Amino acid sequence: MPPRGNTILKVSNLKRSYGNFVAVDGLNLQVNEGEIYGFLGVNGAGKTTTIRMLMGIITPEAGTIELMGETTKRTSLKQKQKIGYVSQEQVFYPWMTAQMLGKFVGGLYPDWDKQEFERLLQVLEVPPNRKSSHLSGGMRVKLALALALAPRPSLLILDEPTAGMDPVARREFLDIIEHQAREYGRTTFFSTHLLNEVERAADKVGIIHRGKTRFEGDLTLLQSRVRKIQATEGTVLPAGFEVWQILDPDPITGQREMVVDAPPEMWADSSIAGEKLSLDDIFISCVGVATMRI
Amino acid sequence: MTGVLIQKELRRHWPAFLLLGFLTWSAIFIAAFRLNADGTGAGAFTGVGWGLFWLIPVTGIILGRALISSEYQAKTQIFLEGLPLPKWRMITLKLVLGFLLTCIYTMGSIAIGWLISMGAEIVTPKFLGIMTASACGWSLFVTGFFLVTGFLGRYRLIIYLTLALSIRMIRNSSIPIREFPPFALIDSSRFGLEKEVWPVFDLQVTGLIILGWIVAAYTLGLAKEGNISSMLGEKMSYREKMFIGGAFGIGFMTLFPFILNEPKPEPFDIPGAVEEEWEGVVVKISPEELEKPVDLEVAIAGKLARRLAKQRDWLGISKEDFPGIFIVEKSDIDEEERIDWEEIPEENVVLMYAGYRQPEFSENRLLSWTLSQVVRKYSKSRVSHEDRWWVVCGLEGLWEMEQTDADTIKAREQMAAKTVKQHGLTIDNLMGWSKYQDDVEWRNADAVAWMGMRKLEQTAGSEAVRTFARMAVAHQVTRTDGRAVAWDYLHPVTSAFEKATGESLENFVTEWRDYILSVDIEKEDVE
Repeated sequence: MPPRGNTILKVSNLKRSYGNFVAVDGLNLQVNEGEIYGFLGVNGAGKTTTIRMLMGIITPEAGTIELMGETTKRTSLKQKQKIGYVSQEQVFYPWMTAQMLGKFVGGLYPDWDKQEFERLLQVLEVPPNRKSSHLSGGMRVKLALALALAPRPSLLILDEPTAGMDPVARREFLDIIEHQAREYGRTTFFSTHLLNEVERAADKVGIIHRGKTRFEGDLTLLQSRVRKIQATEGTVLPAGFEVWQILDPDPITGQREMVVDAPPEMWADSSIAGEKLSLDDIFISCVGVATMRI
Repeated sequence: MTGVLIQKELRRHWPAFLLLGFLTWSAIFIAAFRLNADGTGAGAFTGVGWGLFWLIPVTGIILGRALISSEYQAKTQIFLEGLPLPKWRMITLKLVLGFLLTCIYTMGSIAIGWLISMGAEIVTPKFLGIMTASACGWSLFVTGFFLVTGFLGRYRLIIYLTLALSIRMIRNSSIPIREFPPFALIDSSRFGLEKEVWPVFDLQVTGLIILGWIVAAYTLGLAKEGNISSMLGEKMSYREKMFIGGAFGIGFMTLFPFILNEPKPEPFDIPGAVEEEWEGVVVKISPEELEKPVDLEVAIAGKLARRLAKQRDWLGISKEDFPGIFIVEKSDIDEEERIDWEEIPEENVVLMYAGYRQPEFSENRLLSWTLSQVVRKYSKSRVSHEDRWWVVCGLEGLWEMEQTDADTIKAREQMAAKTVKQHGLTIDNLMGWSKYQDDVEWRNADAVAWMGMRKLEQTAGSEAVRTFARMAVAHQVTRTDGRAVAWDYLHPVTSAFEKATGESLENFVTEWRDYILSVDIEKEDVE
């Protein structure tokens, strides 16, 4: 496994709204070289808007993007040539075959590797001479991935690539991503709303909710930070403990439960007995589903 | 990068681009061929102008859809946005390609017109330049509009419908829209006729409008970011289609009276004109000064009506179909002829201008020119077609010389003799009479044609001349459609001649030339 290195992507206080609706509200995140970064959030959390800003498709209202050592407000053409991108929706020219698409897209990247593209098509089992309109949804995503990987990008950005895939195709796709990252040290940033995908493939996770970063770090850290505690009326938490969610009181005992976030060392130093949660529970409490009882 | 984009557009749309070119040029060919055969206006180039006026908007709609809106509607824009491809380059390429294709279609159309009119029309580089600039100006204006509206996605349909209604209403109004650029560039009264004066102002204004389209295209394409563009490109929902259909229907019903109630023009008349009638021929003469006595007008009108009635019967035109003759006094027209005319479309009327108080004025010439206009009107301008016009010119000479003095006849003979001696006379000259007129000067050509008719009268008899005249130029045309064209092709002037005289036109031309050359050219004239 190649060593994790320098910061390849750093986003600071990114903001973007559509009219009165704030889609991304002061977002921060950091991706290091060689990492697989899972960008997790429910539908409408602001994932796609963030990615479209990273790709320079839309301009942020505030904040900066540091990409491959260059700080910018909007991703430049040169930076885009170092990024492989798979969008949420795979729309190709229906009359183009994979080969034709390779020729067309290849003309836009200075480092396009034709042989690598052909190898990827073969590995991913994408028929090179079939029109894109005749490819299945899963095939189209694979083709998009081959197109994104052929220029040997420094950063691979995937916007919910497995949406709409069946479980088998999804697993196969994640295997490819993981293989690419582990084998070639490819830095990968992928968004999803499925926790198990992150759990399976990501080294690091960023949880976005209502346009804000709720958590960023590795999953083990997340599990050791967020715990469930029993609380009675008048319970006061020490400084450094942040309540993520207060659950409805138990109808029999009247006791309340709270999901609380704190650094592991604080949990160890305090006398509060926190119950560890599954990642599912943590995610749900993170995005604040108030009526849910854990 | 640009090469890749061009390749992409061409690979995607080449069948459409080729088909568009083929259809445009075919339609232009038919229009140019038909109008060339028709003999109206400027012939083939009038057809080209007409074709470009109506076809370029269709071409523009298709190009706008293929190059711009289809990208948004198919959502392939999303794919392109993810690539390292600057949007301005994409827009530039699409605009350039659209404009380039339009220019190719336009210049190809002019080339078709040129080919069709070859031999009949003198096409100088300047004339060609004026036509190309005018046509391309018009085409780029139209295509620019459709490329810009292509960025509006589904909303462009509303603009097209509104525009169609507006144009219809403007056409019904008295606004002379064709006099303003860019419409003036393609106006049939100038396009294909103007050989000397560059339409600088019209081109400047059109250029500015095109520049406006380009700015608008970049504004729409760049300023709105991808998400808005793709929203605009979304296909119409059923509800939206219903809404637009309903709105258009209501709008149409509301505007119906304005759209269809074309103001009917008043029948042509000149109030206060002196009127004389003879056996159904009505001649009206309007003097410049209405207060003066009108004895001269009465005399001319009466005499003209009698002579016109005689020639009408000779040509076999029925009383009902003979047009009303209007003569307006105009003393400041052409000093040599003192006669001019104006075409009054959609009216069975011949309008002549005459400086009949001026010394150079000739009543005989007024009669012959009026008759020329009568047969032109009667045949819906088909006698103006080159292979028939020499017959009209020849008959004109016969009518004019019928009551002319010996000196005029002699002078005319001299003109014909000198012309034929210098330029010759062949059947090809007859078939390309306009060119012959240009080469030898029209008065000389008229003299040659008159001598031909006189020779025919001498050899075949006046009855044969009459039969030939009736067959060649006095065939009534009620509609200018394919039937009239077909009739002309089935009854070429050569076979009409042979039928009427029993002799081939080719042989007769030899006799005719020898007859003219037998005239002694006076020595001082030769010098």
